Amino acid sequence: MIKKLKASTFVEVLVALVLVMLSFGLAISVFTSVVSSNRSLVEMKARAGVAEALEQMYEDGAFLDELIENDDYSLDIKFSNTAESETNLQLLNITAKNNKDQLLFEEQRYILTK
Amino acid sequence: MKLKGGAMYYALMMAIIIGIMSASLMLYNYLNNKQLIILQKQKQVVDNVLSAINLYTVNGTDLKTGESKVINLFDDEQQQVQVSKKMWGGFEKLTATANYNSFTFSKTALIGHYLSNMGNKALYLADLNKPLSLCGKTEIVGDAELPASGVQRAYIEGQSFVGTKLVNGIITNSSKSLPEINTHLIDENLKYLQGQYSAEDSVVSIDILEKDTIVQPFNEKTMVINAPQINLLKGIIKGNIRVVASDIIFVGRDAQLKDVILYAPTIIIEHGFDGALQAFASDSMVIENDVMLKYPSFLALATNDQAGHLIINQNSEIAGAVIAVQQQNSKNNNYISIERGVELTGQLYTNGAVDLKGSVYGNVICKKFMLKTPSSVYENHLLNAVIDITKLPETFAGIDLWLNDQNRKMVKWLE
Repeated sequence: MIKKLKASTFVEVLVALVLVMLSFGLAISVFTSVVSSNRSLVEMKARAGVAEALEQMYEDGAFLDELIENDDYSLDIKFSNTAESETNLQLLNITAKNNKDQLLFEEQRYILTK
Repeated sequence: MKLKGGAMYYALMMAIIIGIMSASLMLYNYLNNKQLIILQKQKQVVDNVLSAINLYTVNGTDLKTGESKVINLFDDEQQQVQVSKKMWGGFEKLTATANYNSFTFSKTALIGHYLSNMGNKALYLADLNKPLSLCGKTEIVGDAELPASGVQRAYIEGQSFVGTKLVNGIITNSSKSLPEINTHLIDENLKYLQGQYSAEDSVVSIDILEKDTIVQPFNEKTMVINAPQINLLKGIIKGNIRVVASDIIFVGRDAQLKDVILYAPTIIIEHGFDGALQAFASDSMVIENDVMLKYPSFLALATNDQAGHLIINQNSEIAGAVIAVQQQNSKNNNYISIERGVELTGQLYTNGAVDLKGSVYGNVICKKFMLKTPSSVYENHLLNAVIDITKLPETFAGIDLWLNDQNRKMVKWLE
């Protein structure tokens, strides 16, 4: 006995294929957009970079302006004297940017250099 | 032409699944970024609080003791911090609080002062027309302000001075009286000795001492334990707590005290006690043998016109400050006795007399020395005593004896 199989026509398959490709295209564009807009990883790396730089400064006892650049981000660390400049109080300004020169974050802190 | 949609169903199913996955990914990303922004804002709040503590640790003049205000850090109204300053015993208590939505962060720091002016000298002895006489193995290392009649070798109790140099430092002339002490330091604490509590204090009865552990955080109200007589024999008492007795406080060797302040006319600390505390007495204070009072500890005797005594017995160690202040002039002076083997690292001040038989690694400021021996009493004599400012750690921050707004330093975090 011959068993009959259901099949699709060429046009049906073609339409389905187009639909699937459109879906995949949409998914890829969403994925790309999510990955490129997700600054968290770079930002977290930059913040860790700030902590590491400050730790090094405390270790060395030298608090100097510094520009740190790597593949993912750049950090501009600047110290400005406060009104109490004769003391060890410094105003620290940090600007972090990603590799496309977009601002990641800006921060200010008062720190004691001793 | 009519098309059968067999393959289309599969394609649509696949498109829906991909759509759901894409939407989930977008939602996840959105929530993740939102959470990250909240965490960053919270971190900003923490950084702002620490910045405020640093700013007001250094800059003491902008915030008076007892004052509380909201400040804009970096001239930015987005970053506001509430700061307040109060006395905590002999030190200052600086609190900074900031919040973002429902997240609130608060830190309290204990602030001390680097020794300056007379504080960086080994010895200041008022000029009462009597020279300073040194006997036995007495050592004075550091600059000294002494009576115009100077310093001399002496022979008492069968011991003459055995050192090569009387004072290892520069000697200058002292004045007839001691400089005015920071009255704020005494007045703020006398209030508690007189039973005047702050409206922000939470007064509790002595029954609370039945608990094994009493811990009061510094971001809550100050707990005041009040009774005529208080025996702290065991258990842990820690934090934002003042213990006030109208008669006597006895601290047993097994009690574990940290950061608390004791107020009573008479305070006795049993031999073998180990801890860090501040204590204010208006009549007498006795630290028995082998007591270890860790930094930052502060012992104060504050009397009106009557003479009180503060006795630190043999082999005790104290890191911090010891003072005895008589507020009104009287014939009888307050008296601090530092027995043999005692090591005090920090400040010793009295406008009365000191019987110094132990060692002070820091500075001594007093009106006169009064050496008591079994056979006699000698004025302005030191026998086998050590005063050495060079052994004071550079990082030491003590109490503000001279109302000096500069040279402030964080001593520790108060939890």
